[in-house]
Amino acid sequence: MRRFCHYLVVGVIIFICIPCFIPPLSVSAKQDWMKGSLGKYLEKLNDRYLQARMTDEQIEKNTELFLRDFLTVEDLSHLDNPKVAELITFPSVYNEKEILFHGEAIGQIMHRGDYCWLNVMDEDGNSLGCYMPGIFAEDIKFLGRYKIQGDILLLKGVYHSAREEHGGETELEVNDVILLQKGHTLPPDEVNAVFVIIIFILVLGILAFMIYQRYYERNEEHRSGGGMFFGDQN
Amino acid sequence: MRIQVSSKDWHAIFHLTGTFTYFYGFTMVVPIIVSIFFGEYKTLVDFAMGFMICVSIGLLLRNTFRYNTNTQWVHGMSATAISWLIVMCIAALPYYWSGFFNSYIDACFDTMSGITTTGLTLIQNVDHIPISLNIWRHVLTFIGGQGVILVALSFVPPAAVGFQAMVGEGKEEKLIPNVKDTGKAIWFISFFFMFVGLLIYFIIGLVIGLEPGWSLFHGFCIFMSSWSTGGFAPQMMNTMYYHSFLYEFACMIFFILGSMNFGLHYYVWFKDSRELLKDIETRSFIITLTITSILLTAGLLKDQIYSSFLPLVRKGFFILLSGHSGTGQMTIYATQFLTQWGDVGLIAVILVMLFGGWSASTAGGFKAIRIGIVFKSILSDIQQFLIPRTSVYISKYRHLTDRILNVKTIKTTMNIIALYMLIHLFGAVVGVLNGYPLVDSFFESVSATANVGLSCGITSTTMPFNMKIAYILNMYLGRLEFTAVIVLISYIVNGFLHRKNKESKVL
Repeated sequence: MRRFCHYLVVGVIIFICIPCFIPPLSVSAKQDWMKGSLGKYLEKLNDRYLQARMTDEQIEKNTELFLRDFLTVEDLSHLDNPKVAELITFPSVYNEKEILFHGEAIGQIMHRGDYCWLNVMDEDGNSLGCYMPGIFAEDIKFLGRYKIQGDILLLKGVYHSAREEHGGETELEVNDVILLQKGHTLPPDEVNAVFVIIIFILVLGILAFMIYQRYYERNEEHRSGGGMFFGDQN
Repeated sequence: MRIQVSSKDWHAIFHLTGTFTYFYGFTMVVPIIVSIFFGEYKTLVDFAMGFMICVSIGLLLRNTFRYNTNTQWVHGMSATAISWLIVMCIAALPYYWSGFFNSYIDACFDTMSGITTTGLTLIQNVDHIPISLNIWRHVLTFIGGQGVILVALSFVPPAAVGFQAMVGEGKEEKLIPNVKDTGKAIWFISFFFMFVGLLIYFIIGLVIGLEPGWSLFHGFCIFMSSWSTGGFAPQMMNTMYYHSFLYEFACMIFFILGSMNFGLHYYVWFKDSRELLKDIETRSFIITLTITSILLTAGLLKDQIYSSFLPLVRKGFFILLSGHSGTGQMTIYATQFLTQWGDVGLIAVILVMLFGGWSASTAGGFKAIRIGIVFKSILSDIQQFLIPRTSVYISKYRHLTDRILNVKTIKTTMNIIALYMLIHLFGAVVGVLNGYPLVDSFFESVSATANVGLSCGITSTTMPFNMKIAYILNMYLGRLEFTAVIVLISYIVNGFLHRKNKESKVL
């Protein structure tokens, strides 16, 4: 009987360990917003230039020009469009310089008087604090969080690796903002049906086990005139 | 003469492990409730599954292995060492199923980082994770800070081994003779500060422009992170997300309070508040913090990284305090350590991470008391030279009571420091073998072992598999302060030798 119990225990452990090896259902964590309109625009642009038989270098240059088209007022071809990793790794290159920065608006807009703070995440998943007049943030409706794809913004501003006025903040002092792609709500994740069944079985199993234990121990108590109940060893 | 290990001992160990695991499972009720509240049904099922697995394994162990009435401290220690590993494996499951981790080992890494209050993370896209999962990350650090065993003991104390099991996870102060009451006292202190902390963070959150609901959520997470010296934050930018000195200042207050000895908290609250400044740990902490602050300020000013007072406090002093208390909250990007801070800054941060916070707290590292004892020991040796040879210099120190510094204390202290150094070196060597520079590898290894969580950029999902395992080991050993793990290993070896001897006698 005891050996049988041991086999049963091992069997149940293996049974409940199986789900550990079931891969997760969704990979919603991946940042796929680059497949959105900005990415599509870039793809379209690339296609157009590919048709015109342009080299990769020319295409890259024209992509920059494409970004420039969003900010029509002045000539921005001299502006870099770095990611956060580049800004941090090469502070001497970008510090106090005007740059373009694009990414997803995440979290919350934190208003401070006439200005506000907004954190923008690039496609590598690194975020940069952006300080801008509150009026710029009025059109930003979707802020990235669980099941919400935030607005994709293109920002122009001065990068400060440690801004004295703000107590050494690493930030982008924003001069202009353009909404490249409106955010949206994502569909809810699918519930894992296998898990629901396993939970149901485990609940039944534990209940059965507890009832059996009560019954067994009561019998033992009758036989020996007292016994050890589950949880009362102390 | 060695202790003979019989099957009864293993029964006792695994019965205790089952008890700890069973009660630990109930902590998953928190994210389950949160996921119901926010309608995150996939996460709800993941956590319900994790809960059922934890409870099932706990019950199985509890009932398969019989309770030994002769349970001793060695069983408690061994059970602690095993429980932490089991808890890591089970608590990692909801993480893994969430889809925000590249692999199961990444999820285990994050769980170990959470329960050891380290704060290094391999999670992907934390800004888009469900609220319940985010809450779970912080609850893990909070529970880890209190102690996994303490959580279990709060429900039901296995009388004889309760205190030893707590010692196994670095909570060696017995505030009140009764173990259960000691647990209650620790919970009382933590919950009091949680109430105060939540209120403070909530108000500051409103002031800096967060909406009330989000302010409460961020306050809850950041309090748990700073009080338990965990270092996690609900957003990828960590403390930088808030762009507020006020918020950072509150963090500094709470992670200093969190890194203080629970015994000292109790003493200050219920006995004598003057004890705070008399204690060797407080003095040691203040001295090391002052020296390293001077070093860091000199380094940052020399390279003109921050040229005025406020940035020096917000970036320099914050990181220093975060490292010293073992928190790991950051106000700069990980790579800024290497690209901007320079060698002096890096050395200062490595030093504070090595020193660590108070003993019997949520902090890691050598601990302030050991630094104080080593310093006192050196001083007493010097004093011994200055007095006549026939005399003996007696060195005293105050740690809740007046104590005489004896050779045994010094020996134990030096042993633990030596073991810490070995583990730091182990992590650094693994890093170097994987092609990372020595200083970076050492920084990251110290951060993992001392359960700090500051990173210079090595910790990432692209990190080699063996480094993830090495850092998990570092965090685990650093948190349990070796004793419980050494006891478990020696117990296994002893059991094996005993069995071999028995077999050879039969032959």
